[in-house]
Amino acid sequence: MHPLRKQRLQLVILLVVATSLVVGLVLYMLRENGNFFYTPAEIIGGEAPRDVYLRAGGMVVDGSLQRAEDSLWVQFKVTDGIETLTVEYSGILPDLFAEGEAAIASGIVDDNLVLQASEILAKHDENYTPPEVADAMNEAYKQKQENKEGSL
Amino acid sequence: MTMYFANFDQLIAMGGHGVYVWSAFAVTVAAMLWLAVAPVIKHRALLNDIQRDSQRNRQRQRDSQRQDQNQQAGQSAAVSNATTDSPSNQSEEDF
Amino acid sequence: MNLFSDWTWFHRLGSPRWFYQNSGRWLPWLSVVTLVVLATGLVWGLAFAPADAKQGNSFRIIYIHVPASFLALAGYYIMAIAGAVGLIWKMKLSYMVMKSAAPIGAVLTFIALFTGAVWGKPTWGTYWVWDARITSMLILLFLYAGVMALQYAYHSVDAASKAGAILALVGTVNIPIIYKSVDWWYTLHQPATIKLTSAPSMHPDMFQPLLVMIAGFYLFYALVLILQTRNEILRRERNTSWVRELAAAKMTTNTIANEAKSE
Repeated sequence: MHPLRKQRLQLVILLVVATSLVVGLVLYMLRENGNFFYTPAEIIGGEAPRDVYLRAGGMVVDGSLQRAEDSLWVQFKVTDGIETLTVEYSGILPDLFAEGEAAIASGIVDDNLVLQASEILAKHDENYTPPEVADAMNEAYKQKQENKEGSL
Repeated sequence: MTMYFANFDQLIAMGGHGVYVWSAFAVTVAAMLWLAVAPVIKHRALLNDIQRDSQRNRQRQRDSQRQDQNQQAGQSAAVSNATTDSPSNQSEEDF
Repeated sequence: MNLFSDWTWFHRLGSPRWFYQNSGRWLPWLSVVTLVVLATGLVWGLAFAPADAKQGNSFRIIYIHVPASFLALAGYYIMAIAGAVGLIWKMKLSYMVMKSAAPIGAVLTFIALFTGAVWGKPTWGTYWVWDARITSMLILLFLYAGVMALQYAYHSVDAASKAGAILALVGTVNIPIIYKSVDWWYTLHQPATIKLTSAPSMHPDMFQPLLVMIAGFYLFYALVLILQTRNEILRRERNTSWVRELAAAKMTTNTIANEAKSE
């Protein structure tokens, strides 16, 4: 083949591949409205599909985290403020996973409406604070709570 | 203003996140250095190339002039055409 | 007719020769300022800014991740606007800027994606997820690559420039999607820390070095774009007498310097 035509052919192929990749990714992103996860309300309310692999995201409920003594099994609840979903998982949790923080669990929701997760991701917020400032803020918050309780 | 870390080792360790932080910064610095240095090198090469090109052209012009003179003098057979090489020159200039 | 004569200043501004000569005068200053600002921001962010209460020191990746992402997006607008100016006014310099902006934007997008992945592992627990923000950022990388590929797809410089400009303009659709993806959809990526309308959700001690780094990246972008555009000018104007004279003058000074060195 003429070298110039060969070069053009290669470029056409490259462009076709690139365009299909872009369109494919856009479609992939827009599937399910482009949302990365379902909220507990959507799952409990039946808006999310049952028996398929999905992601659920929400705030880990304070005091809901239970660990098994002899294995990596954990159970916790996530909430979106409307509904609460129980998650069970066996494995290592990310460093940033904590009660009161957001997390995303992926797995299958079983018949008891418990999400059997195979992966847990920690979702962090857009706020950045130095440790001392965070401690001071927590301290001030605690003080305020105590004062409130004292006045009751 | 004081450093956040107590010593150099702690700065390297980054509280256990050293691998992530330093690899991210190393790749970024390398990529940015390449972005800045590559065009400087290319600039020099381009100027070299252009200069060589125009010198070659001038040489060619001079040669053809000499050739004309020689032809007039009736000594055309002795002139080599070694300097009129590089036909690819033209296509490079198109780019 | 009046309308056209009023635009002559604009065309003079678009003269490659004028740009080459004037940018050459500013380059040394711009390089020094860029280096100083970037070095300051780097040391400040890495060693002096406090760690984050939750993320610890991994948060320091923000000092390259956010500036690189900013410039990857801003650079796309610069490329698209340069393409539009080229299409509308047939300005040669504008197309040269467009062609030069593409590889720079691609590298910055790559830096944003790479640092994001490395940051994701210790914070989210994964290097990569296909959420709306990260996917749309990957599309940006492909758009830059597409504009670059189109520059070599045509034999004629004019056709390549036009095709590149059209792709660049079509691709601008993606930029607001990237910006708003974290608000429109549930994503793993958190919403923006730096907002146009309200104060940043970041402590000033951490925010100040970030501002320095963003300024440094803007300077760096300008510097590299000028360097690349100057090369493109030499490539496309190599047959003009001013470029030939310039090359001859440069070579003479170099030869003299080399001879002095060897003696």
